[in-house]
Amino acid sequence: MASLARFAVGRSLLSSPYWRRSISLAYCRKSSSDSPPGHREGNIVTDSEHSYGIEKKEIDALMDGVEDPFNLNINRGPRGTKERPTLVPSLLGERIVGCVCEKDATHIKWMTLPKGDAKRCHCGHWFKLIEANPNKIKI
Amino acid sequence: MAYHPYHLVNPSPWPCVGACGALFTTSGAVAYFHYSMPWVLILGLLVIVGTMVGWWRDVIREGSVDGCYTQVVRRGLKLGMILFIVSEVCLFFSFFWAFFHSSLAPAIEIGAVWPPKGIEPLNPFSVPLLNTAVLLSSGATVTWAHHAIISGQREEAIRGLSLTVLLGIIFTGLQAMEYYEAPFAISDSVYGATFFVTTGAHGAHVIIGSTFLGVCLVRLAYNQFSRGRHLGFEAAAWYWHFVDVVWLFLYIFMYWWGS
Repeated sequence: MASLARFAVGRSLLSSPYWRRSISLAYCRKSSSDSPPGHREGNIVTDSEHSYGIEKKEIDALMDGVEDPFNLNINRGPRGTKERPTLVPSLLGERIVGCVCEKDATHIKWMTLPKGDAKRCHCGHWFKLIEANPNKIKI
Repeated sequence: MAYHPYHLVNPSPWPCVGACGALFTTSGAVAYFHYSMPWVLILGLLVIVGTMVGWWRDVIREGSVDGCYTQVVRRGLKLGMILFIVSEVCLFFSFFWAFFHSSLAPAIEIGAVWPPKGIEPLNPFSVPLLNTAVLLSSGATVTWAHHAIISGQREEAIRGLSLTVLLGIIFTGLQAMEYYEAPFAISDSVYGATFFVTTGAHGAHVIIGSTFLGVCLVRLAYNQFSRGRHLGFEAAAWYWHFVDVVWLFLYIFMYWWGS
């Protein structure tokens, strides 16, 4: 078995008002003829000047140096033990975690990781939920 | 709203309205063919045109003011456009297959020669050569517009794109003239059939591509594109280059070699 544990962190379970998108997505919400903010005559705007909603939040996060704004990447790290579990940050009381148990595993073992004691995947990897710092999260 | 980058679409009337339009069009065509009653067909076509305008209007809004197009969504849209163009390549491949099937070993019924006996083909070095120049120039002007968008020069971009649309319209006009003056018709042997079906399908694609670029021109005028995010324009440019390449094959094999 590989000494390096791999784990995928799923999305937070529930949305909170903090996450809610600032605009609605009704299909006839607004006239499309409005010029975007930041527009200057004779120029074509840059990406961050011309973006709205979750697209803008993604651009801002990327510009702030957040490489994986939506937590879609697989995180690779040392194998979590009972004494030193793999720490999973979350703003909420629980988070879905997927464990890629072995290097060549063809599927991900998903589990709900609640706040509290460390939890063990059947393969022996340990995970523990810790509180994330909201100020360090960009989306 | 969920914490993820994917674009989960909102409820929309257009799939249902479009399906009704398709039903009116097909049943209306039957009514027109059998009873000379055109009204249901006209209604169906109007509903389909309305669906196209309304649906794509919503798609433009999702991209330009609703901010639904994150990186992963854009990747999906690009992949979708590429797959669509691949399917179009397959369509034209089948038309060329029919052409080569009939022309490489001409049947005895058409005199065992190509072009078939009695067919007077068009002169490839007349209007078709001009059309080749027109279409290749439009490929250059659309690239001009693309570079202008990337470097943020709005006036240049509008100039390049306007010229592209104009060249597309000129091409369509010249093709219409060629059709009008052609000494053979679609019913004149397999030559007329393959020629008009393939060039006709290409002409329809030029009209679609010009419309697509025209919509991009209006969007450019409304400042809906940014320097790095102009997916609608990129898709239109890919489509236009595809139409351009199909014309080169058409010109070389059907107009030139085939005559």
